[in-house]
Amino acid sequence: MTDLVRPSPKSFRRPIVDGWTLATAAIAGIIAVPVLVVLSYLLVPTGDIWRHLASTVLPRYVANTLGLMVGVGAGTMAIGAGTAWLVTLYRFPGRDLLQWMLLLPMAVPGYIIAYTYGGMMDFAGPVQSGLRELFGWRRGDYWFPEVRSLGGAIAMMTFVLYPYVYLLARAAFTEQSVCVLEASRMLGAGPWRRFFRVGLPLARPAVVAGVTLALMETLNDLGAVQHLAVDTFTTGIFRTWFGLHQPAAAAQLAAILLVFVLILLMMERWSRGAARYHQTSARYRALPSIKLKGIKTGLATAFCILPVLLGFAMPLAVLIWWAIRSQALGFDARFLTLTVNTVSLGLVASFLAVLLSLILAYGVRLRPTPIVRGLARLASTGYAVPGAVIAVGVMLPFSAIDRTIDAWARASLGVSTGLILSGTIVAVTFAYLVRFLAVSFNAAEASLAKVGHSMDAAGRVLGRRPREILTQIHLPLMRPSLLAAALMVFVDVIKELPATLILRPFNFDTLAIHAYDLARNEQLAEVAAPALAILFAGLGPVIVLARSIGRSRPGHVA
Amino acid sequence: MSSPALMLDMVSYAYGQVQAVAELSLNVAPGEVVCLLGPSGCGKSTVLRLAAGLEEVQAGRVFINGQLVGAPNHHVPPESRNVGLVFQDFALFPHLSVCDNVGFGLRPADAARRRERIMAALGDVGLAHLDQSFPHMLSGGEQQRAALARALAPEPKLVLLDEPFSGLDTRLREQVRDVTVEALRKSGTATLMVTHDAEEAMFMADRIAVMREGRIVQEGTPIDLYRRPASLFVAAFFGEVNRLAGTVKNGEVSTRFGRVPAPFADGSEAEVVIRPEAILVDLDGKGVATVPGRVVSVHPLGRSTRLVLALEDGTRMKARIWGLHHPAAGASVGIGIDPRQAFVFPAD
Repeated sequence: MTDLVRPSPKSFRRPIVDGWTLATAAIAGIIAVPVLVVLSYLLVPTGDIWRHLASTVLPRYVANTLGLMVGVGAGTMAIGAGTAWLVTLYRFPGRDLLQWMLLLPMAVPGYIIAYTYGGMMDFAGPVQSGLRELFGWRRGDYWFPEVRSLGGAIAMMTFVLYPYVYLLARAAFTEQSVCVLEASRMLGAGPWRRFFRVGLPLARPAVVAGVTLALMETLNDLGAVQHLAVDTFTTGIFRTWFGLHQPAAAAQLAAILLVFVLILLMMERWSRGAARYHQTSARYRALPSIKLKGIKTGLATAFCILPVLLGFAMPLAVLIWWAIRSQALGFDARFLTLTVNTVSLGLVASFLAVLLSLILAYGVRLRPTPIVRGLARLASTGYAVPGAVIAVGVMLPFSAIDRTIDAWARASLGVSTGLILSGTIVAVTFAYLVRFLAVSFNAAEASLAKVGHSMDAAGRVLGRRPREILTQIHLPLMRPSLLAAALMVFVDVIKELPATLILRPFNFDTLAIHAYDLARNEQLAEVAAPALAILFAGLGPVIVLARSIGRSRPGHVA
Repeated sequence: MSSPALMLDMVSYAYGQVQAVAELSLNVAPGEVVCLLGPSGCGKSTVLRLAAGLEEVQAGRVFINGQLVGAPNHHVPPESRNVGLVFQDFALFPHLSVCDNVGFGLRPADAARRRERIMAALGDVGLAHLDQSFPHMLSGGEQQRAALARALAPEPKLVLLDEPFSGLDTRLREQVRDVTVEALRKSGTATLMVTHDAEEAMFMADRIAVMREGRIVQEGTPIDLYRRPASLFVAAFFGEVNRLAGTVKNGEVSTRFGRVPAPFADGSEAEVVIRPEAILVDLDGKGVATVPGRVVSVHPLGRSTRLVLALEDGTRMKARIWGLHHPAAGASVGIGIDPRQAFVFPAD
């Protein structure tokens, strides 16, 4: 039996850390840099500028930011959960259409809706002018809601952010509470009681998650609040950075904003409590939708149509009207450059995001140790961090590196290298990755999870190494999900404003930047061209989501 | 002497605190079919994963065809072991046709030879006509056969089957089992199969190893294990049993049905285990079965009938009788045992 102990030449000793774990750690580490840099400014001693800020503008930033969060939170919850409840539980004219049309406002970025309403509802805008003409009023004769106010900002944000709540609440209502709702009905609970005592508490984790997402977007916004003259942390960071040229103070503001975000995240975790999201059966259960009668039909339809009108149809109509009036929709050379810039940024960022997500997700699948999982989580927390915060966190280390290299080159080579990282495409793209990696990572992870582990084992036993299994088995299976993920990131990049504004190279404009510049110069009619382009791009992910809703409708097997 | 196709030597594996496999040794000779039989969670699937190289051994050694492929700090990855594995869920690649699935494990060769090899493997399992289909278009039985063809196509010296029939319904199972046995015999490969179904193991295996809590508790031919179980656990695993407790006296246990030899110390507790088919039932009370009792319930199963009987003190006994004649519920009968088919074990 001595021949048994002939070691195979193909054996190997496992290294302590393998390549996939190393790659996961490297990606997570680099992606976490901006957040860590900003957080470190909580520890930096505060200077004179800071004391000045604290005594003058800081209270206003805090008050406005909190007010915005409370208002948008309440608004999105009411509209999102209310419409979701109606379309899942009741039948009324237009329900099937409204079911997906309620998602449309997602395609409209906050700054674009703010520009359109701002332009229309101003004192000089067509609505007020029309009223004055019609009734012969003059300034001060009448009351009209002021769009350029905290209330206006809350309304704008609510109109375009409620779909986050709608989407998650609808899924929760569909999946979880069918039997319970029937039971409560049998026990004699009326419709309102069923909503407040059974449906809503059951869907609470989903509603809270949706509101949290909406609030993160609220904190992220720069364009809308700036246009509506509401000073928040984000505008403060921007002004301190560009107006006062105080990077350290801006970073400290960013750090405080980050603390807001962390509190928000912790509250979301806490509210979930013991009620974890649990996947119920994937099979579709026919919902016992109740047919509404009489006046209730009209009310339900109206309640569901209104958000679509306010959040999508209105801004779209205004933009089209402006486009026709200004005749600025021509494809001139400038517009072409903007589009090329925007699309190339989007393509590069979405390609890299999907690639990195794939490595991360596969790394987690191969070695699902707590450390690797934690690293992947760390790499995907950027979605919660406002773009302006990420921008500050990217800019500070990048310019420090640039200065170091430049100083070294000048001293030893006698040449100046100038800016290599900061103020280049690299910085903007990196910021996009930090912010949007979670979008593609979640898609990649979910898609990988659908493939049974025996597939990997089958591939291994049939002679393939892990990398080959990724390319020959997983990639073909994941392709649709990865394409959808790339589309989501692409559109997010196209809509992104604050990070692009801070980090873009000199004279490098995108569609969003162009719209922002035009709005700042009050050339609102000209905003139409870039805004329409952004809005139509934003319809892409909405269609993807709407299709998945369509598939879960009665009569379709999910 | 040729080396065994698979040799596990004192292999251990633990998931965290849970010892799944403990100092387990097992050989599979070339061309032999060995079944690992045990309840779920006994570690039998882990043995398979260790043999395939999907898990790394923590102690002990694994040899395939005489080559050391697994030992602590010496791990030949699965892709270099040339072992076939058929999964419980079949794990066919959904994006590849049956033909490409079966060809997945073949080394790049010229197209004609590759095609020939694929079609031969599919022919052996009777699926040659479905080569262009995709997995989702196949029935459960066809998927299982395609998975078998995929595992056999690279002509491995060792094939591992992980509960290969548990995903199929009972009737289909018998059919697919025949095809599988035939294909395995034809290929001449050594086979290690894992199952929790004793009947399936007896049908398939040249040799069965019964596993419990990470260890092999008994190993032998199917009929050996059935006729001479070494423990109550093994006896009970191969079918329903009746259990009678008693105290050993002069090398015997006395039961209601007479004395049974028990080679244990005097005064120790022992258990007499009798299969239902070794219970004798006398309908007219005039035969060798003399203990009076009564029929509680009757379950005709076609070829045989299962009876639940009650002795006068209320003890329940399960019996299986053959043929069409059986007593009615409530009837008084004589009950006895076939002492040659009674097993005696020390009480736990």
